[in-house]
Amino acid sequence: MSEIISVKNLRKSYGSNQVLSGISFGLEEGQIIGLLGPNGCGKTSLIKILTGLINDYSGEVLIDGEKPGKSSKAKVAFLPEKTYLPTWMVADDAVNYIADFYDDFDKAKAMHMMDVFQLNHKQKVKTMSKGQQEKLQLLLVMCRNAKIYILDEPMGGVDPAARDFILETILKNRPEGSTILMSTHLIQDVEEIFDSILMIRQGEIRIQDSVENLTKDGKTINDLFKEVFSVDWNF
Amino acid sequence: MTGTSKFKNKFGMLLKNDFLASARVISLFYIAELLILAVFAIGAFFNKQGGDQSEFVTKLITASNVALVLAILVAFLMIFVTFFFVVYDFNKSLFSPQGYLSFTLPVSSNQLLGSKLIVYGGWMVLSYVVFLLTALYLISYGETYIIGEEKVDTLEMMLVQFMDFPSKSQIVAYGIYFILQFFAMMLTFVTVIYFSISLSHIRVFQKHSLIFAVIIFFVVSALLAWLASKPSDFFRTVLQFRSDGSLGFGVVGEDYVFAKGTMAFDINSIVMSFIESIALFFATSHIMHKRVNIK
Repeated sequence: MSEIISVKNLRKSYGSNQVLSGISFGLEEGQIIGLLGPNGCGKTSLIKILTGLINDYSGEVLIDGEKPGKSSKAKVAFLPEKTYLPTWMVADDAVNYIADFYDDFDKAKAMHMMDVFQLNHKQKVKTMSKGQQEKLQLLLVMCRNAKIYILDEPMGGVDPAARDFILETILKNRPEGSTILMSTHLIQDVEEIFDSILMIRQGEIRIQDSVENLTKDGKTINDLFKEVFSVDWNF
Repeated sequence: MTGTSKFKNKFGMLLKNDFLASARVISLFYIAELLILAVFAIGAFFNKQGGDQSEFVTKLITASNVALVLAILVAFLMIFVTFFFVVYDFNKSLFSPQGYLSFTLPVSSNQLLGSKLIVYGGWMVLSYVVFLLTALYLISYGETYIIGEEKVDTLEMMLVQFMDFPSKSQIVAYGIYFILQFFAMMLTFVTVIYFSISLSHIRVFQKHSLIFAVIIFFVVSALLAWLASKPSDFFRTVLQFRSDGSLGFGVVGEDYVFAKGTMAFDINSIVMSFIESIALFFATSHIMHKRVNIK
């Protein structure tokens, strides 16, 4: 299988604070990859680099063979942790906005999913609950027929029932052959969907392997995570 | 679709969405201004008719007088609201969490910036033009019925000097000169605002971005004004309006003495304003692309 994301010797610093220390990895096309690590390990910076939000880094990053930029952004569907829609928009405006910019966006599907998600087409983002805003953002991302999905904590801060709903939405709507890179702290809830794992600790790749290899001795990914990162919490 | 048409298409979408985002508020002021001017015009019309006036007409004329004041106020307010939107939208759509949406669109930072510059620069120009036209319109009509004389074409009075140019080509040239000067001023103003906001969001200034944006704005504005005046210390590029009606264009020394009756308009500052705006545009785009990290 070919590499859809290739990273070589990637370094990123904020002043004297180095958050990514020359990491290298490749992600295979068509897989669901779990991006795991504690807070401040460099996950968000890595995601920002892959999505073209941060451009002052050193090393080589290739998204489907291209540097992060205009062209790669058309291939990547990104769900950030934050709610980012302009508050003056109504749900339909948000759908039209995404449809204007992404050729792979399925507008009819989005309109249908809005009904399934019980979202009011004419409701302003400003008056939506956080959960409704997250649903809307999720459907905007999953109604794209993208090559790559980068999901930053898609289940952060939601109740267990909502987690199942989000996970089901992602899996049901993911186009065949697409790649998903998902960062999460809720490993137990999602580890069964991962094909491979990328664990980052203090700006360095700690583990990169398939779930099959990692769990062959009976350990779960959650156990492995605790094993790798418990050292950070020991006095 | 070819690469170029895709490029144009996405840029067109940016223009469309920036326009929609701004028009929802700014256009309300234009509609209000139109309605107020309509009330004023109707009242002014009945007032000019003279004779016995019904109670309704009297009320209409009173409303018209109120509209006169309101029209000036709204036109003035329009400039401030537009200015507020130039700052607010740029900051909110790029440097708040909304930036996660804007900066991941399949467009370049040049396109993001260019779209905002065209749409909001356009609104700024329009708001000034509407203010100017409203003022001229009200002065023209206002004097007519306040003074009670035969219609005085104040507009024409104000343009006497302009119309007094000895040839049509000089009138056209002066019109173009005036428009270019106005555009250069607006362009520099908006690009300095965008540059200041963008620079205030780099890591060093990010914590107190608002304070730094204001400081940067004033420092850069002063620096640009100084720079714009510098070439004239050495040479002047001038548009000459000769007394025989002909036009001249050329570069002369700083102490050059023009023939009697010739008016000379300096072009250096306009050229410098455009150069500065272009430099600021690319500097801002570079900062947006390379130096900003949205929180």
